[in-house]
Amino acid sequence: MEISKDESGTVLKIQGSLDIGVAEELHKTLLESLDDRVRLMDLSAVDACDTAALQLLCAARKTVERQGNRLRFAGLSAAVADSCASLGLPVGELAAESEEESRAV
Amino acid sequence: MQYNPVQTFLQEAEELLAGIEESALALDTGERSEETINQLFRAFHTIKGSGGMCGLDAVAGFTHHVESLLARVREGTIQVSPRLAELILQSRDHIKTLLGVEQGGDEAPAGSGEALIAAIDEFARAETAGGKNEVPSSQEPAENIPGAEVAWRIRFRPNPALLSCGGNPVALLNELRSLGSCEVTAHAEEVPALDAIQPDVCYFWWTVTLRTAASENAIRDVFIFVEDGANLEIEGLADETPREQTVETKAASLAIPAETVESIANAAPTAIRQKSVARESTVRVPSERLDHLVNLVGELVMTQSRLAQAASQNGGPEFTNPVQELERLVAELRDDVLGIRMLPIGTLFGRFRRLVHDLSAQLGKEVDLVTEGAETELDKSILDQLGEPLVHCLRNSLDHGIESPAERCQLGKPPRATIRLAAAHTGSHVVISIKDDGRGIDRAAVRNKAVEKQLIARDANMSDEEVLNLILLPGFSTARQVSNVSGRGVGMDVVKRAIDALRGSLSLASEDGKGASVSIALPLTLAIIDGLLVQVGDDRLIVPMAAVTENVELMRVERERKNGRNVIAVRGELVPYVDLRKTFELGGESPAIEKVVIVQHGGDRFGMVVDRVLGTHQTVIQSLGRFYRKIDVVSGATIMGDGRVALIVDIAAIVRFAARQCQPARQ
Repeated sequence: MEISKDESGTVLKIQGSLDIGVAEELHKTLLESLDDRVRLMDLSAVDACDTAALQLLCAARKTVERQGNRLRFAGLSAAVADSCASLGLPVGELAAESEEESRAV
Repeated sequence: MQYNPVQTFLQEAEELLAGIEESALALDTGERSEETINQLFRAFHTIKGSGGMCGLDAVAGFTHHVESLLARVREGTIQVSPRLAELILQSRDHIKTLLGVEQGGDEAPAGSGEALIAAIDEFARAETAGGKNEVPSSQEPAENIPGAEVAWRIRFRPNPALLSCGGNPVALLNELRSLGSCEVTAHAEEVPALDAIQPDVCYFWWTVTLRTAASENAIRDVFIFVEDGANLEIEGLADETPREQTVETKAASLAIPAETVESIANAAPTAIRQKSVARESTVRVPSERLDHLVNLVGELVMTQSRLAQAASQNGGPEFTNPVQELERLVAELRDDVLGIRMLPIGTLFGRFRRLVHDLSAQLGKEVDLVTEGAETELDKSILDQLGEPLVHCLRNSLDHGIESPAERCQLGKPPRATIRLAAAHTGSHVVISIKDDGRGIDRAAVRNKAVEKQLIARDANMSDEEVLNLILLPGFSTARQVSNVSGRGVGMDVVKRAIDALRGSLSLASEDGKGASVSIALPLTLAIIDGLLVQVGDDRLIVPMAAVTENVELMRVERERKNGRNVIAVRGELVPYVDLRKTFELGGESPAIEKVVIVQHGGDRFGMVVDRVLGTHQTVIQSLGRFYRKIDVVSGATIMGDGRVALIVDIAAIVRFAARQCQPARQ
């Protein structure tokens, strides 16, 4: 698992396999890197994503919303989309708002 | 301590097997109870699943056959019968043997498993063929018509520890999807923000609308491994339940607050039933750790009393408060720790149900075991030693007391006999009674036997109670022939001795033709007791406080006046006494005014003469070790505050000892 930020500091890109084994690490990294400038999370390079990881992504969105901003998820990889579908997680919880935003990444 | 899944499974299986036994015996009455059948099915299902996960393939493989049988019982294709209960009991025993092998027990006899599987298959075939023509039972028609799809709303709130225990909600939901068409909605509103989230806790919960031909039980089975600590609600919706409602729920996604979902659920007018499964959270702890904890507390109590003594002798006034506070805390800790070791006596009763079932079948008698007060709690160490004596009493009742059904009918009694096994608290004791409605104890036979065995003189003048108590004497057994049920050469004296060893007492009652009863009074705990500290010469002894009724003074002049007869008048009643100085051959001169500690033993009072009564003492019982095993007049020792050792007097043994000493004098 790896998390990187682009030069503007608004896009957080997560790569690799997200599961309960790395949940602790993902949690820590998100806490550190999720400052009040991040607006978009790029999930296009996520290979696997389990329930624990999805919960953390939801928590990340809530954290940003609490600060009065919006966090969007873009470029859902097939793995993330599959996990959402399997769990029955509503699309609104974790998805790009629109095509344009996806492309903006 | 390392977490060992196999060990955990073995512990869990032990409990499940106990539950299976109970349920199977309930089935034995031939009554069909959905609840019981479901419990049985789930228990076997869990053993199969967990056993397979732990690599115990023999267990899983065998259990599979029983599970299939029960599945057909649940469908109603096989009826409940005593034979079914018998097979379940045998299967349970076989699984226990298989599990025992894992713990280093003996292998199951070769071919026994296969024979049992064959018997199960044979039974299933015969029952299914025979029952084909019968109309399926009337319960739950809608669910049982094959092919008819029913809509179910399932609300599943998992145990928060689901994820950390390796649970996978995706697999669970996919299993539900395999049952029929499914609408799954995960609810994320309880997921906290990053600063509050614990990454391995499950915050999601789900509502699922499932249309399936499967029964509610089949749906419940999906959740069988994650039920613990979870909240599962399954309710049937009427067939017309508009699907749009579900769609609406889904479309609105996170905008829907929980209350709305709730109100939709409540509004469903035709909800068939609703059941939530919530369990208390418990922790499994091996009993050795509890025993260790009790030992530690025992040492703490002793150290505390040494500290208190040192503080009162040499310490400054600033020690007074903390030492008193410590005493209070230690006492509280002691009570709590001993409380943890208390187990309901019902765990023991369960075993007896099986015993009575097996024995009555063997003896051709019909017997019901009625238990009362199964929730009564007793220290685990007592419970462990109580099994054997109680088994012996039950065997006696079944074998000697209860008549055959034909004989009972002739006597105008119902053919089914009843044995009542009851436990209840009375003060600092637990009283267990075993009462049957058989022929009672034949006093004439007891008397003749005792004369024959030269236990009493032919013309001895004895009360009814005394005659009854003769059967407690060693080597007494009135059974004409030795059966393999009771009368194995050991008699009630073994029971009496075991109960004495537990610091308990035993009494008998009998009414000719109406039945007999045995009551056993036991102390609540064996580890720490309240004792009365007494002094004889330079030695100190502890008398268990529970037995002490009063202390009186004994003047030397009065003693001399009685001319060496060891009796004292206590408020008009003559009470015999034992001189502990003489009995224990302790040296020294007795003071002019001695004390007599009057104790209650088996309905009688007797006194023990000591030099001084020092006061009460929290007594932590320490065993004397094997070198002193033969000394039966003391039941243990305790270490005093000043580091000296005081012996704990065994009252029953002292009575026996004194009686032995008197006998040569009498003859």
